[in-house]
Amino acid sequence: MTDTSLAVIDPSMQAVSNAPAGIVPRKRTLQLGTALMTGASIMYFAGLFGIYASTRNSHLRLQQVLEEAGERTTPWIPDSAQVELTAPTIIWWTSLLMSVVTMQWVVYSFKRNDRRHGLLALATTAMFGAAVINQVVFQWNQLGLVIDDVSGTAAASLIYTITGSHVIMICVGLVLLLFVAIRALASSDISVHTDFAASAAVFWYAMFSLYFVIWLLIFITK
Amino acid sequence: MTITEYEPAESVHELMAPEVYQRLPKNILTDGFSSGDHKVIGRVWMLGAVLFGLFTLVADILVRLERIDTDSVAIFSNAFAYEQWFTLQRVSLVFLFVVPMLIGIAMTMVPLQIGAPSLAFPRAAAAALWTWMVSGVIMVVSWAIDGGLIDRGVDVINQPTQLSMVSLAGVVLSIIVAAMVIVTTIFTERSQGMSLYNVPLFTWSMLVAGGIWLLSLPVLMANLIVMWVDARGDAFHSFGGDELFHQISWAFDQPQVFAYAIPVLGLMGEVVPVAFRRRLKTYDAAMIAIGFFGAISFGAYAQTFFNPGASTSWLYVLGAVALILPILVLVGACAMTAKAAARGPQFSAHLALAGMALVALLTAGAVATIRVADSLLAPIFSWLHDVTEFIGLNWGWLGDFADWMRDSFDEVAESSLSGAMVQLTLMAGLLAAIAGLFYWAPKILGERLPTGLGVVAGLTMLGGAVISAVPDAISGFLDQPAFVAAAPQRDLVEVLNLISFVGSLLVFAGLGAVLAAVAVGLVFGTTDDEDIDDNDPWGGHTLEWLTSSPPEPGNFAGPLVVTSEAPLLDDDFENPYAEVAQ
Repeated sequence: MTDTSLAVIDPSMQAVSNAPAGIVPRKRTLQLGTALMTGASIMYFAGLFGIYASTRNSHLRLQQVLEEAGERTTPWIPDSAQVELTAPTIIWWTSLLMSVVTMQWVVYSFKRNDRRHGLLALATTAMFGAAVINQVVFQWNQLGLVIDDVSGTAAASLIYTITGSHVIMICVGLVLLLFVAIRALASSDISVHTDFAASAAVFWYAMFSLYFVIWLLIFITK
Repeated sequence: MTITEYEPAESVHELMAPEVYQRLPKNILTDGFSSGDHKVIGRVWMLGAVLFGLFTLVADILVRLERIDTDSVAIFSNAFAYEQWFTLQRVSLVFLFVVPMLIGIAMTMVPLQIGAPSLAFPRAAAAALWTWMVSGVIMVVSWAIDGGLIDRGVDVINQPTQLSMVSLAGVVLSIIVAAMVIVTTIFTERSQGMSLYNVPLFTWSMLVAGGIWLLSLPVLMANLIVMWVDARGDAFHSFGGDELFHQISWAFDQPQVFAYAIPVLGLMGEVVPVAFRRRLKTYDAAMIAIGFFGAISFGAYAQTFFNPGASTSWLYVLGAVALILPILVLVGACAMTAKAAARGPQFSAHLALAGMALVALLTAGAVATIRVADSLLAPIFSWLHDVTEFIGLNWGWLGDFADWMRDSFDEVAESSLSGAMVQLTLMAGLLAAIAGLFYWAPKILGERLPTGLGVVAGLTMLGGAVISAVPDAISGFLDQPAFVAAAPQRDLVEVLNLISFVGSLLVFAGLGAVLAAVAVGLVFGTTDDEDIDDNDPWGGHTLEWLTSSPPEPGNFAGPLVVTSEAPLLDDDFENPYAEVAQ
């Protein structure tokens, strides 16, 4: 091919002129790639949820056996810990819910080349994300859970792993938003970056959905 | 996030503008290490995998040498050191050798097979490559400095062990990203007219394998991260201490281990039709078989650490038995193709190697079935016992037999029999990767590789794998544990372990023969035979054989339009090169 390739390319790939019109690139490459990585993230959390559920069930079964034998038991969540539906937990939840709305606002604005609202929506979404991270750190300080040899339960390890992983997911989402913002700032027509904004949105929605499961698993059913 | 750096092209003409490719590297030694060219990235994946592979096989030899004398620990300093090397060998065989070899082949060949100029996310592919390589080196080092995910029997988790967890997570993450790149490329970069129903079978098998890896390997990451967070705590370790490897062993055991051998089927379906110069018969059935094989090899649910009953679940048992079916479907498709051709195949090293890979996979499938035989047969014998009792026959031996099966096979499942199955499966994956290397050598290396050395390498590796695995399977029935170096002395087990050691030497020699073949091919070049077209020496059916050997940056001079799974056999295929070549 070495001696022929350039001749074929120009002008307009004449050698294939008899063929149907050139390849129409399949759209949404970036969205598909993001969706696949988001799917992998969901499987990661599914693994964590599975470990949490099976470890908790094993602990509770053992607890029941020990109680029937009249022996001293340790609860799954130590008495000293505060894994409750407190105000920060609710704010955590509602902040993410509002960020989902503003994320859709980002996509809507990008699609219509509304640069001003697009950037405003991006900043608002990022602010909600940062607020959630702040809430989580506050919550960690309030939990009173310690990974130690006194509690005799794996709850602390699992709760910190799950919530910590979710915070990392939020951070990745914020990095994506930052890239979207850079693209928007550097471009006169932001509608060409709608694909990018929609990809970030896919990831953001998955992040929110996962929080919903975390909320149910850790703070409701414990 | 490198995956976000991709700028969607306005059209394929922009994508394929020649000036774009002037910037691509031509030499791995100059700017290849910063390359986004899928061929360079694929070659570096393969190079890294071979280097790690040499190390892995040396580790395998040492482990088997140690097991010759079951009375004491002689080669390693103590039993823990033996377990460190055993687990390192198992982990690196999968994630540093076999899977990266397949990824390297796929990254190089998948874009060529589907008529694409590049991967979907070349920078993400490069990021995955370097993350994998750095994490792999750190992982090996962490194991060497008294780390490693072994079962120490104590709750102390030292820092090297924590480093092993994080570095292995890095390796797994990079493989996940690589799988994402391959899957996205297949979905979005195909030539016009190439639906998912008529992608080449190797590409299809990589789509299935990539999908299964994307679904299952994040769960392995979850295991590792939970262990790591737990290990960072103070003293109490719910997820560690005495059973570290057990928690991740599902990723190196049945059925998940078969997910690393999915491309074996794709490669077989690729080279057999070319050898017979015919389209593959029942192409759709072959695709369904590969998809089915992938589906039942998903093993993230079979975590015996968290669910001890997982290995007796119906999904696990039926999955093990059903593994053979898709392999047989593909063998049937190949046989029908051969019959339709009504002539002998064009013999080649890659055909022989692909056949050997299939033999290894079939053998592994048989061992997998034996492992679940109790779960399958014991209930049947119990039921027969109940029936005979009901009709008044006193056949107590049926019940005794069912109990014996349950007891003895539970032990066998945890013995070195499992190691034999894993060894054979991974060797099948490796043989497929080597078959791919020989088949696509003109595209990957620019030269054909010597057939004789390829066949010798394949026979040596398959023979070595069988010789090392079969004694392991037998000694599994003699209660030899998979992990323990020193066990109650049994003369027969020691003899079997000696044979197994010889097998591991043969596997190492086989890899040496592959490297020799590559060296001979690169140094002495392809024989100057005017009858053979260097761009398409085998008479291939798929798009990669349209390009030069090795392909120019950008791969294809123009967009391609296809209408079947073997476009080069189509009468109406417009070859963009034919006109210019006249």
